Amino acid sequence: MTAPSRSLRMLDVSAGYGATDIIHTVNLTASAGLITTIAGPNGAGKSTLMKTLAGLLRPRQGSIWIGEQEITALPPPRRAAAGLGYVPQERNVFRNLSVDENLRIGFEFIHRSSGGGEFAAARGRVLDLFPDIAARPKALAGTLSGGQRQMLALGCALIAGPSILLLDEPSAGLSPLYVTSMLDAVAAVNLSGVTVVMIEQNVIEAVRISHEAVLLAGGEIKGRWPANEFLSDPHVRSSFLGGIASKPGLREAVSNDASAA
Amino acid sequence: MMQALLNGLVSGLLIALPAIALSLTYGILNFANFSIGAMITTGAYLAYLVNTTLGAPILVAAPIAAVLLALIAIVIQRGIYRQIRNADHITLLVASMGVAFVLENVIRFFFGADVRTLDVAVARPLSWNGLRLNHEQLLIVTVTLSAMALVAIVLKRTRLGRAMRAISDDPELAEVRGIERARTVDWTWAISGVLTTLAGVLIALDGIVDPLIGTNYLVSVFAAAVIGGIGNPFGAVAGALIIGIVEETSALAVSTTYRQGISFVVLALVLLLRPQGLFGFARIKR
Repeated sequence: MTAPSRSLRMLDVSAGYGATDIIHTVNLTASAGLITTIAGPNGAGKSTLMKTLAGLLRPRQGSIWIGEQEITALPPPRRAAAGLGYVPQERNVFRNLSVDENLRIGFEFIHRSSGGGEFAAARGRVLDLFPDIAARPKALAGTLSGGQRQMLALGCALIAGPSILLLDEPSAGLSPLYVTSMLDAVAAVNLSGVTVVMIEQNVIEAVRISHEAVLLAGGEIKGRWPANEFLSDPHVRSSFLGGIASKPGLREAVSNDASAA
Repeated sequence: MMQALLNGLVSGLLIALPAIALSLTYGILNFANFSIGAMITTGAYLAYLVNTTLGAPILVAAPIAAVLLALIAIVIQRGIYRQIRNADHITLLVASMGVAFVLENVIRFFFGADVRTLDVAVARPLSWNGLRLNHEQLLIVTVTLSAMALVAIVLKRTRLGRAMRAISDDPELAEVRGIERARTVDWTWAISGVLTTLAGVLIALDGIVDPLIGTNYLVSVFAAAVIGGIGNPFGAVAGALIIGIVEETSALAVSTTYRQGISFVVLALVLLLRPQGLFGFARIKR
C-alpha cells in the first residue's frame, strides 16, 4: 500500500501505570517490511508494550522511532498520522457506529484534505481483502460477529494506508477457520510492504506467517529468533509459558503441544 | 385540553435545545453539565445586551450572542474542565456548579436582579379552530426544529459529527484513529453554547429576562435528557416533548407552582421502570 517499508524501534523503553514499570528497558527492532511476533506468557507486558508503541501509554524513559523519525513525544493521533496503524485486542471498533462509518473514520482523520474518490478507492481495497464485511455497510459494528468485528478492526487500521501495523491478538476469540484466514490476511498485507508487529496467543499459527519472533517475559526481552526456529529453541520452550513451566506435569503437556506443530 | 397539548409541545421543543446540548457534552465528556441553566441565562443576557444597548434587532442580536456564548464556553472548557479532565465525573459536575454560580453572579453584578424585556414588537396571536398560537410560539417551533435538523445533519453527515460520536463511543480508540480530542471537545462546547443561547433568547421573547430564567428550566432539562437516555441527543428531544406536555397538561389539574415537581415525578417513574432511560437501550456496550 505504501512504499518504501519502514522499521519500528524501541530504545531502552520503560513504561507502566502509575509508579510501577511493567516493561523494563526494552530494546526492540521490528525490521522494515517483515512480520515480527512478540510472544510470552500471560502478564509478560505484551499489551503494555503495544500501548506504549501506539502512544496510549507514555514511556517513563527511552525513545521510540519509525525509521529515522522519533515519535516518543507524539500523542496517538499524531502517531497515526505518521503511519502507525494499531488494532487493539478488545474494543477495536466503534460499536454504535455503522460498518461504513467505522471505515470512513479510519480514513478521514489521517487523510484530512483528500476527496471522496480517494476514500472510495481505499474502501474498495479493504473490502476486497475482507468481503465478509462488505455485505452490511449500514449495520452497527457492535452487531457483527466476533470474526467480522476483528476483520472490520483490521480494515479500519488498513484503510489509512499505514506503513507499520500493530496487532494486539488479531485472532483472539476466533474460530480456528477464522484464525487461519485472519493471519493469511495479515501476511497478504505484509506482502504489500507494511511492517507488522504482532502479539499472538496462538504462537504456532503466528510463527507460520512471521519472519522474526521475540520472547517477552517479566517485562523484559529475553531474545530474538528467526520465526521458524522460535518454537524449537530449548530456551524458548523452557521459559515460554512462565509460571506453568515450573510445574513439572504441565510443562510436559506444553512441550508436547509445541512439538506437535 | 388541546390548547394545553399545543402549549406543551411548544415548551417541550424549547426544553429540547438545552437537553440536546446536555446530552452532547455528557456523551463526549462523560459528565453532567450543571451550568446548562446558567448558560441559558447568559445567552439571554448577551442577546439583551446586543439588542437594547447596541440597538440591533433581535434577529441580528441572537446569532451574535450565540457566537459569543460559544466562545465563552470554549474558554471555560480550556480554562477549567480541561485542567481537571482526569478527575472523576462527580468532581467535574461540581466544577460545573461552580461555573454556574460564577456566570449567574457576574450577570447580577452587571445587570442587577431587575426584570428586563427584549426590545421587540408585540403582535396579536394567530388563531385556528379555537387554538391560539402566538408569534413567539411560532418562532420557537421554527427555530427549534431548524436547530435540531442542523444538529442531526452535523452528527450524522459531517466529519465533526463522526468525531463526536466516535469519542462518545470509545475515546481511546478515537485517538488511535487520528481524532484530535481537544479540538472535537471545543466544537462540542461551541454547539452547546449556540443551542443554549437560542433557548435563552426564545424564553426571553416569550417572557422576561432575569438572572434565573435558565436555572428555572434546569430540572426540566435534566429530566428530559435523562428520560431520553442521557448521552443520546435524539432521545433527549423525545424526553423534552414528554416533559413539556406533562408540565402543561398537569397545569389543568394542579397549580403551576408544582410544575418542576411534576418533572421530578415523571423522571422518578421513568427511572423506576427503565433505569437506562426510554431510548437508552440502543447503546451497545459489550
